[in-house]
Amino acid sequence: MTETLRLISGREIRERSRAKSFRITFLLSLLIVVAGVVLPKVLSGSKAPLHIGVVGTITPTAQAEVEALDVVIGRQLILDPVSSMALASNELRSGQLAVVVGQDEILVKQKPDATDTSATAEVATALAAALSRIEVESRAGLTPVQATQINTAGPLPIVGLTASRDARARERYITLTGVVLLYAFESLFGVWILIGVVEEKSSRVVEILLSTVRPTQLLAGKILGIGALALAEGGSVAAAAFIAERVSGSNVLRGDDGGIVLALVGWFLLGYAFYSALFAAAGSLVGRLEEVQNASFPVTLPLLIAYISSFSSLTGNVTPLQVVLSFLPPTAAISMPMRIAAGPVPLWQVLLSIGLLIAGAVAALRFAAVVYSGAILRTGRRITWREALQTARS
Amino acid sequence: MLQLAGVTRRYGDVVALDHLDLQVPTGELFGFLGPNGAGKTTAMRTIFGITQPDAGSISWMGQPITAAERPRFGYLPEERGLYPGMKVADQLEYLGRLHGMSRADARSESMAWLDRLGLAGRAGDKLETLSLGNQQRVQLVAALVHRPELLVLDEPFSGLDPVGVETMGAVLAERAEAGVTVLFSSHQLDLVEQYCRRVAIIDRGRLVVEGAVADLTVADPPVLDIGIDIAGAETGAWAADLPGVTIGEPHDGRSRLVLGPGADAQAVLAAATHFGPVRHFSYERRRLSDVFLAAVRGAEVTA
Repeated sequence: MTETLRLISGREIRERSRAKSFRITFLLSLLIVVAGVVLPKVLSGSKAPLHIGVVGTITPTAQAEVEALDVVIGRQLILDPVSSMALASNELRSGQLAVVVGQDEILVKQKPDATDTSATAEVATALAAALSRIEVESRAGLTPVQATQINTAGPLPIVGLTASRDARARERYITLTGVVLLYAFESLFGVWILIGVVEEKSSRVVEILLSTVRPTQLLAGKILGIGALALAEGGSVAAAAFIAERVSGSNVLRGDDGGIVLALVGWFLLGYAFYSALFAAAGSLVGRLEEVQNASFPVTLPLLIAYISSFSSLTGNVTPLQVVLSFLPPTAAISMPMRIAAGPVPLWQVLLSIGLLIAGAVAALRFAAVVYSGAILRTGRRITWREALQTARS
Repeated sequence: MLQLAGVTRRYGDVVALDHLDLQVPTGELFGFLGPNGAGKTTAMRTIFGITQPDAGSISWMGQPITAAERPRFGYLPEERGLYPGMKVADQLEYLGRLHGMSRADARSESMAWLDRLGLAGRAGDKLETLSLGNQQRVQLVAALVHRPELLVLDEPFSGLDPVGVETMGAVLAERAEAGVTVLFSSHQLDLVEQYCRRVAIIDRGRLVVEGAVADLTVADPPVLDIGIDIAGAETGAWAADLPGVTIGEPHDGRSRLVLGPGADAQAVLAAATHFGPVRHFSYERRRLSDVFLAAVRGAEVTA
């Protein structure tokens, strides 16, 4: 029994991973994920440095302070000595300089208002504050140590009962990416199963297989094999994302997201168990690859509903429909993780959803085994779900 | 021995198998005949558990067939099929292993058969790149690779060119010679007559005729075909007094005697030798197709 399952799933893994279409989608998903991690870093790194004109002299303390600003602004700052204010004004107008440090003033091309978040405005504001502070400190006669102490005095930490809006948004972003991947994986690998079943049925090899293995073994081997492939691909994509982050120094992901990734893998497995069975059953009903689209529609529909409805929770608002969907087995694997990302969900609700999904998956597997056994050897025109069930029962 | 006893299978109102009884002796090439829709394919599928009978039993060597026996059976379904995109040797190895062989054993046995059928050079090619005739050969290997004790083939000769027919016939005869029980269905009755010692004819799911080809093709009532080297002997007048014998129309310069109830072929032979030198003495043979048509028509009349 186990040897047979191993053989069947082994063949699925070997033959599928050899297929050109599999390799292409695999490479594409690797590429997309790595690009998603690395690109923000590359793009921000390529911003041109800001030139800051200095008219007259500037103290070493002030120069150090200005140079330290680049970390805050996220852009390289270059100090250019300028001989006169007139010349500096010209260079500001022509765009060669972004900001000019005068004797008692900071000069910019256009006076920034309070909501301006451009780099120029930030640099100007920061310079204005820092230089004035340095001036005051030196007039007060503070020693450099005293000055440093004052400057590095941080505020008291503020502890929130829930994570900040920023952290929640980031978590939501990661879960959203995860949900997109969940949906893509459930439907992609579900369709792999469907095509695999149709291939065996349309090529008629299934009759030879069934002369020595049971339909349920064939079904289970296929689901396990393609599931293992999905996990391997998902694992590789996640690993590639983390490696790309380390290598490029990007901070799109952070170390503490491992838990989210793990939870998503769990939801994927549950959803996969549910859907792979139904995709296989749908495949057993049709005799030709041309009919795959029609056959898969009733199965992909609930998946699509869960996926689309998930986007509404991006704003953090969970609709009553989504609450309902998060408990229904066909949609729970996508709707529940999305709800969790949108806001706290009571543990009992999560457990109930998981329990219902497991029960649903077991029922789907049983149902699929019956339909599959009843339909897999019936050739000719496409048969209905009802006919397959009747054949299996008789 | 493969035995089907009272095997019945219904699909709704349609009775595919109606208390079918069949006995296939071990190590024989057995022909399984019947018109389209008679239930041959259904009967074969029940042997492999692909179709579950509603009633009756199927046994191999006296034991009911379970999943444990089936890996020792080989099957060539009527609708041929293997994985089109899989390499020839890979899928033969896979099928061999599904039937319980080790990887190395399955690989070497596949290669031996491919070599024998002239396909050794194509082992690494995808099946779909082979010609139809070569795909049929691979299909045969798929049924043979795991050295089955029982070989069941549904229309193995259909779609084969004369060379393919020759190869198929030779392989099946050789397997039977090696002790394998071979059951196959065919509409090509001349081939069945050529290769099989025994046949069964079914119609509407029931067994209508079963027996040795040599016995079945004897005319009913039997007709003796006798040639005696004496002018005028062909009229058969010399046999006029023998009990139960009716004199038929002479044919090809020989007399034809119909043996009715109470007739004794040995007494006829004695009378012939007494009359003159006998150069020909045989039973007139019917063709298997005549036996087939008579059996199937007879069933139609009684139905």
